[in-house]
Amino acid sequence: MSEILQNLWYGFGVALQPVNLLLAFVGAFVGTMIGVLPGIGPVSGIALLIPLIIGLHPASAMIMLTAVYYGTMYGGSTTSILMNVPGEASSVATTFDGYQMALQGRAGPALAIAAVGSFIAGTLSIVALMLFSVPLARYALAFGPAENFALMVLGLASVSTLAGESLVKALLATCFGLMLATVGTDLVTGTDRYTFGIPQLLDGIDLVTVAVGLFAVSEVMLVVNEIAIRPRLLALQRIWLSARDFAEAFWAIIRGTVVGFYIGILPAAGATIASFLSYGLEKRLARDPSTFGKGDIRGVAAPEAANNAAAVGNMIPMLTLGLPGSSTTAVMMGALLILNVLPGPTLFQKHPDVVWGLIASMYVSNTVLLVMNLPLVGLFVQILRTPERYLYPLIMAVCVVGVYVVGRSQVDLTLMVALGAVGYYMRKHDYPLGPAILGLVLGDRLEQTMRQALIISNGDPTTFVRRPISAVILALAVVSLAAPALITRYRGWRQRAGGRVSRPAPATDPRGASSSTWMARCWTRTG
Amino acid sequence: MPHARTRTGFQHGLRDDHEPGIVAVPHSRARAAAPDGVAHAAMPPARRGPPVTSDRLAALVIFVVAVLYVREATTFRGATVADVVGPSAYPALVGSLVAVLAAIQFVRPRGGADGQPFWQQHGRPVLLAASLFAYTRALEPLGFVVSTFLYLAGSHLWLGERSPIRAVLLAAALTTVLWVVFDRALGLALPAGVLGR
Repeated sequence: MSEILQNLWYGFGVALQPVNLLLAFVGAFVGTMIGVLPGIGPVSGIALLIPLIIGLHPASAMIMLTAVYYGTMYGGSTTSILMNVPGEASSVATTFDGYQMALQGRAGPALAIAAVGSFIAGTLSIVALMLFSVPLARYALAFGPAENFALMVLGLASVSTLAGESLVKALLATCFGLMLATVGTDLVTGTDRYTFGIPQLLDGIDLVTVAVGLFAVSEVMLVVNEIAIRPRLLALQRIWLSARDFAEAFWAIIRGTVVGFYIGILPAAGATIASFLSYGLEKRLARDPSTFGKGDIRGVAAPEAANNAAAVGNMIPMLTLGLPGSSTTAVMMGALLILNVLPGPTLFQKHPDVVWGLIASMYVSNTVLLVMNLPLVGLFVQILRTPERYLYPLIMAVCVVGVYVVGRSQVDLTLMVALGAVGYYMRKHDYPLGPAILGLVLGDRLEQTMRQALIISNGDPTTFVRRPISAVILALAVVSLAAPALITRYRGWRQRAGGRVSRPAPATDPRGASSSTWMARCWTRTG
Repeated sequence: MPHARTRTGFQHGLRDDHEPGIVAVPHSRARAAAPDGVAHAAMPPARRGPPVTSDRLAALVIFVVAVLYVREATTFRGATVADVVGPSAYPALVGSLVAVLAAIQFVRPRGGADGQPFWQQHGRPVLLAASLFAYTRALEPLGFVVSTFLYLAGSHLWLGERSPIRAVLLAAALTTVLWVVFDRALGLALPAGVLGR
């Protein structure tokens, strides 16, 4: 314990250096803007910042990206409450009661509880992160290539299971990312693969290009059809929170934190799922569930706490195992790889400044956002009121600059537009985008670990199932792929047998659509 | 943008079967339920629309790409003594998996056919992508300032700005801001193009 406190003290030393503090401020501000704006979400937003952080120290870079990530969550909840526009998928659950509260003239308390809830959840789960990640990293140090390969297979499998309405489409999206990752020079043999004689492709397809093309360009292509729609903006009064409101929401925040954190740790299940689950939990625990969907403050507090806790929980597999659990953490991991920092168990030994600086900077970003965002909420809302005919071209121009400066190549830009078209098709036809970006980030290491494991075993492929840890992890991957189909079949069998269908009451939202489908749609949409 | 609301093609564009982007959430409540229902009953898959669904077409295209991908993989040469696997095995594995998945999707497609004529539904997105492509092609030869100005001004106009003067002035202002931020402040050295340096 004292070791952890010592490390944390050291981390604060890193995070509170003036440069890093400034970066946290800038990141929080930019992140909130990203969270508010349509078109640029956390994935493409963080990707666009990658060219700017290349020259920075890895610790500073991660501090900034963490602040951006946090900022997007705050920005998303702001627009959810004030305009019923969830900037990110993880704040969809906040709209259910948040917007209703705003309609009733209680936008102030709603915004305040979202901020306070996020702050409490963020702080508590950072403590949990510290307690969990060190032992986990120590355990994972014993992992060889076979185990790491199995772990990545599990990560990709569970992301595909949860990502969309169709498992086949989700797996196709995953493989699309894996295929993109194979472009470029093979690291082991130096062979060019899928470069088609284009020298710019020798280094592979850049993460920034893919993230911006698949997420930002396609999103703008999608929303450009809806330019006529203007969300109604509610007048914003003073932001305040009465003691009664806080008392009412307090346990919802604590429960949301616990749910969010545990969901966040699981590979693949991210902030979006956590926010829906905790909303559903609050509704079931409530004495009078009918108040939910009509402006219940617990309906804002719980999902907001959960999505922040999950964002922190998500960092655990990323930092300790090198296995990102969401598309956003995948991009952050991509940024670390670009900075020559390999996430995984060795990170804690080789780059303690990155790990502990990042953990400390989570506290810092939380505080920065709490003090910065509430006064600035009006400004951010103004940004959203900019007519789309000015906003979208500007977003596109920023994307072009961001992609161009990475490699200074025309090829990257052409790829960006092409991937935008592909992403548009995928969004239109319910192929989830998240698995594609995860596949791209993990692809190289997936292949390397597979080859290393086979080299160690002299080409014997049974090594993956002979080593016990690897076998267990691979079995989990198979289970996670098969589970949804089996559950559906079991239910169908129960139904035919005349038995009462004991469906675990889905966390319904006021729209009547069950939350799991909502999650799926959201994931498809914003990853 | 009141005039945009009255444009009929636009209104049709909104009646799209899929969940629109985040901007439209408040308006999509009613429609969100319909595809959800389908999705929930989707085991066995709901078959609606003609047998040639876009999912089937996509499955065919993906299958062909996967086959080409695997075929290309078999041409990779260059093994080292230690590397028993070589550069071909992994891509071949991934490509084969994709081919199998595409075959499954062909047999059991999920989506229906697109309801509306292509251009009504995808006209604006395609135009957006085309203009973006033109912009990226012009970036190096014309330079950042000229190409961005042209792209922004043109986009303002086709996205519904009725005053050409405002479109041009705003484009000039935004281009200047972008140039100052990225080129001067952040030192990213954007292409100068025809303006030289």
